[in-house]
Amino acid sequence: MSKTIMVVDDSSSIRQVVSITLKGAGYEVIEACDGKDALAKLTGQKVHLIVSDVNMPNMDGISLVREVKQLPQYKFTPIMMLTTESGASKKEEGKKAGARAWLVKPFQPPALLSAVAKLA
Amino acid sequence: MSIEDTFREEADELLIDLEAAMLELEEQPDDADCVDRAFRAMHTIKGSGAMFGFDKLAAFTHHLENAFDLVRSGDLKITKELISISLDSGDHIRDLLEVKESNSDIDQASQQLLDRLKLLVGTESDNGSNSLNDADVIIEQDDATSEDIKTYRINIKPDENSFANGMDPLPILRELNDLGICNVTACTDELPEFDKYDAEKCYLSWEIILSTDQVLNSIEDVFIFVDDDWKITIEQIDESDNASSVTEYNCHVEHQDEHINLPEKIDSKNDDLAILVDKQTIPETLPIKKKSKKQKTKEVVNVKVPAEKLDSLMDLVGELVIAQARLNQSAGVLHDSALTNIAEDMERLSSELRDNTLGLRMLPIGTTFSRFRRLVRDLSNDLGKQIELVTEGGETELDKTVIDKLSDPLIHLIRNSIDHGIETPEVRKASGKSEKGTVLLTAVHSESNVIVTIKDDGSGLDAEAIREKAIERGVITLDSTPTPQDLYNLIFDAGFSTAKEVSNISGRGVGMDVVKRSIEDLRGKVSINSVPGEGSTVTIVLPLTLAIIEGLLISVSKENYVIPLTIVEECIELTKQEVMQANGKQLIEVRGELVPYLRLRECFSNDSDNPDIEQIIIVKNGSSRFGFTVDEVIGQHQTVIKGLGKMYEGIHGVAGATILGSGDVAIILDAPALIELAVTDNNTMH
Amino acid sequence: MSIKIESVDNKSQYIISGELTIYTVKEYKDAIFENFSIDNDIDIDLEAVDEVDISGLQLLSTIYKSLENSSAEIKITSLSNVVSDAFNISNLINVLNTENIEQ
Repeated sequence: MSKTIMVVDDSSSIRQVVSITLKGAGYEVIEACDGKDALAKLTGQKVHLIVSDVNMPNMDGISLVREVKQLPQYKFTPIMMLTTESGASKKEEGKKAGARAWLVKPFQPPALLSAVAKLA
Repeated sequence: MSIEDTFREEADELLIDLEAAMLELEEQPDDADCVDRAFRAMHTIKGSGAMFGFDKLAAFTHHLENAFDLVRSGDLKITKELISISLDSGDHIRDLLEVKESNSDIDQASQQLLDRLKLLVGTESDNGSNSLNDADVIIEQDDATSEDIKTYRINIKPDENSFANGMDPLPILRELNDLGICNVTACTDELPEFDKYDAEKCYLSWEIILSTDQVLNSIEDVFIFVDDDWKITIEQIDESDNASSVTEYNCHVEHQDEHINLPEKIDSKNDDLAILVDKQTIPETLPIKKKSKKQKTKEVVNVKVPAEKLDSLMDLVGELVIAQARLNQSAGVLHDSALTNIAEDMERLSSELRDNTLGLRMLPIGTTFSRFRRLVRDLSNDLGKQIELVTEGGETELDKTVIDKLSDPLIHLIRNSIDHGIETPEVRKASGKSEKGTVLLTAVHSESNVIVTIKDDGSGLDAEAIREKAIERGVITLDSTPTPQDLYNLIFDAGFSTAKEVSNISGRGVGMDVVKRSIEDLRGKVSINSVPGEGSTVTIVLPLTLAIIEGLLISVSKENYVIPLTIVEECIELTKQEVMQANGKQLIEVRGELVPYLRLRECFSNDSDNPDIEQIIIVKNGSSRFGFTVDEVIGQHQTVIKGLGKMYEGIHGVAGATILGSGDVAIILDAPALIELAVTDNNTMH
Repeated sequence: MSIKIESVDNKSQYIISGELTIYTVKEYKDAIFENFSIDNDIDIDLEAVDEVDISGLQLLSTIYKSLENSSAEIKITSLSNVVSDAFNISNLINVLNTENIEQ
C-alpha cells in the first residue's frame, strides 16, 4: 500500500519538484497551495505525512500545524516543515505547534526522501 | 515546460507582485499587507531559486528578504530609497533569472544594489542571517563509511506521548535494521494490565545491538526528527578498539529551565552535534509577530494549461460551431420539427461552449496595467513631472494573446502622454491646473470589443503644428482642409513619425505609426482626440479575441470570401458605365474622392465574366481608402478562423479560411496585404 | 478498517482489518475491553490488516501480557505480512507465544 503525502507550498515549482521526488519514490501525493487549501483538502482520506512550507499566504504553515492538530482524524499525522526559514525561534514555534521535523530548502531529493521515510 | 521554466514564470508573477506592493507602499508606507506581500515574494523566489540552482539569485534575494523582515518587525522604515532599491532589485532579479552562471556585469550590479541596501539597513541585515550555506546543515548526509565494522549498543526509550505526537518508533527500528546487522530486544516490562492501559501512550523501550560499517553520524541521523523527550543512548561496544565511547542523548529538557544542558559528549572526534545544540538552545529573542489582519484572498486557485491545448480546444469548438451551422441548415431544409428542436438545443449549447472556451483564454487586463505604474513613476521622476496613473476597469478581460501584444503599444502611448502631453508642475500651475498631472487608463467592454483609453490632462495636441508638419512632410497637400480630428490622427501616419523620438522604455524607438500597426495587427483600431489646453485621449478598440472575427461575406463567381468587418467602410455599386468612363484606370469616385480599387476576380485568376453591376467594398487603408470589386455582398458573418496549413503558408493576401454553414469554404482576405500587392504591381508597371 | 468481535461461550474471536495504528487503536482497545475477561480464550485474526504501527502492536502485546498468568489461551490465527514484519523488526514477537501463531 503506497503512502499518501500532502505537499503544501505556495510556490508551484517547489510543489512540482517535491511531488515529482515523492511520486518517484512511490508515494501518492496531494498538493495544496496554502494552509487553507490544505485544510480544505484534508477531507476524510488518510494522509501519512504533511510536508508544508512555513511562509504562505492565507494560512501559514505553523497555523496549519495548529489547525491539523485540532482535527480528530489528523491529529496524529506527522508534519514536516520544508522551508527556507532556519531561524531557531521559528523552528521552536513550529515545534511547539506540533511540527515533527524541519527540513531546510534548498534540499537535495535524497535528503527529502530520507526525511520522509523517517516520518511517514 | 521544464520545472525551471515554471520557476521563471512563477518568479515573474512574484516580481510583478513585489512591484505592485512597492508602488502601493509609496502611497501608504505603513501598509503591513504590502510589506508582507513583498517579503513573501522575495522569500519564495529565494527558496525556489536556490532549489533550481539559481544560487546567485537566491543569495541576492536573501538580502532583500531580510530587509523586508526587518520592516515587518519594525526595525526598518519604508523609505523612498528602500522602494527604489526594491524596484531596481526586481529588475535585477529578472536579469538573474536569465543567467545562472557568473558574469562580472551582473555580479557588479548585484554588489551595487547590495551596497545601497547595506547603507539603509546597516549591519542589521546580517543579524540572524540564515545564510544559504548554513541552511542545509540539518539534513547534511554523511555517507562516509569507516573501514571496519563497529558494534554499538543503542537504547531507545520513546516519550510516552510519542504516539500522540505522531512519532512511531517502527520506522526508526526499520532504519537501524537497514544500517547493518541488528539484534533488537524489546522491553515490555512497563506494559500495564489491560484495565490500566492507555492505548495512545507508549510503554515500550528497546535495546539494539548494531554491527555496522557506517559511522556514528549515520546512526545519529536516524534520530534526527526524534522528539527531545526521547531517551536515546548510543554506545560503542567494540572490543578491538579499547576506547569505548558513549554518546548520550539525554534529551529531557524542560523549557522553563534556564540551563542549557549540552549533551554529554565523550567521543571527542564526533563534533557534529549541531542539531542537538540547536534543539536545545532556543532563545526566544525575536518577538513572534501577530498577523495584522486577515489577508485578502488575492490568490485564485489556477490550473495551468499549455497554450497549445487551449488552441486545439478552440479549433475543435470552431469545427463544432461550423458543423452546428450545417445541422441547422439541413434541419431547415428537411422541415422535421424534432430535428429542428434538437438543432436549436445544439445551437444554444455550442454557442455557450464557444463562449466558455473563448473565456478560458481571457485574462484581466489589470496585470498589464500594474506594470505601467512603474513606468509612470520612473518617467515622471526622470522628467521632473508629477504624474499619477489612474486605472479603471482592470478586471476587463481580453484574450491573452491580445494582452501580450498590447503591452508595447500601450507603453508607447503612455510614454507619449507623459513626455509630450503632461506639462511640468510650473507650467501647469501657471495655467491654473493642479501641479499633479493625471494619466487615466481605462478598459471597458463594448459588445464584442474592448475599448482601452489613455487620457491625459495635459496640454493637448496642437492642430496647427501638426498641419504644418504634415504639409512639410508631404503627408497632406497645402490646399486640403482636414478637420482638427483628422489632423490629430495624422500623428499615426507612417510619414509623420518623428525620428528624434527614441524611447528608452520599450527599448526601441518606435513611432506612433508602429503603435497603429501593432493595434491593427490585433484587428483593432486606434484614434486620438484632443482638446487644446485640456488634454488628449487615445482610444483603442480591440476585438475580444483573435480566434473569431466579424466579417463581411462576399462572393466572386460563386467563390466565397470574407473581409474583416473592422476595416470595411461602405459598399457601393460599380456599373459597367462607370468602368468605361474611367478610361481603363481602376479608380472610382466616392463622394468627391478618387479611390483605387482591385478586382478580386483578377486577383484570384478567375476567368468568368464580370456581372453587369459589381459591388465595391471600400475599406480603410491607413488614412486613405481602397476598394475591392466583388460580384455579390452576402452579408455579415461571424467566423472562426482556421489556418490554411503549411501548403498555403506563404500566400500573400490570405489570412486564413473558414467553413460556412453550407459546408463551403470561404477565404478570409488579408486586405492590407492585398492592397500592398496591388500598389507594388502598379508601381512596377510604370 | 474495522474490528469484529464474536464471543461464543468462553471463547472470543477478534477479526481486525485495515489499519491497526494510532488512528484506530483507542477505538479497538475500547471495543475489546468491553468484552474482555481474563478467563476467555481469544483468537485473533490479523489477516486483513494492511497497516500497523507500534501502538497497534502494543495493544496486542498488552492483551497477551494480561493473559500471561491466566489459564485462558490466546493465539493469532493468521496475520498479514505487514504485521509479521512489524512484529519481527520491533522484536515484540517475543511477547507472543510464537507457538500460538498458526502460520
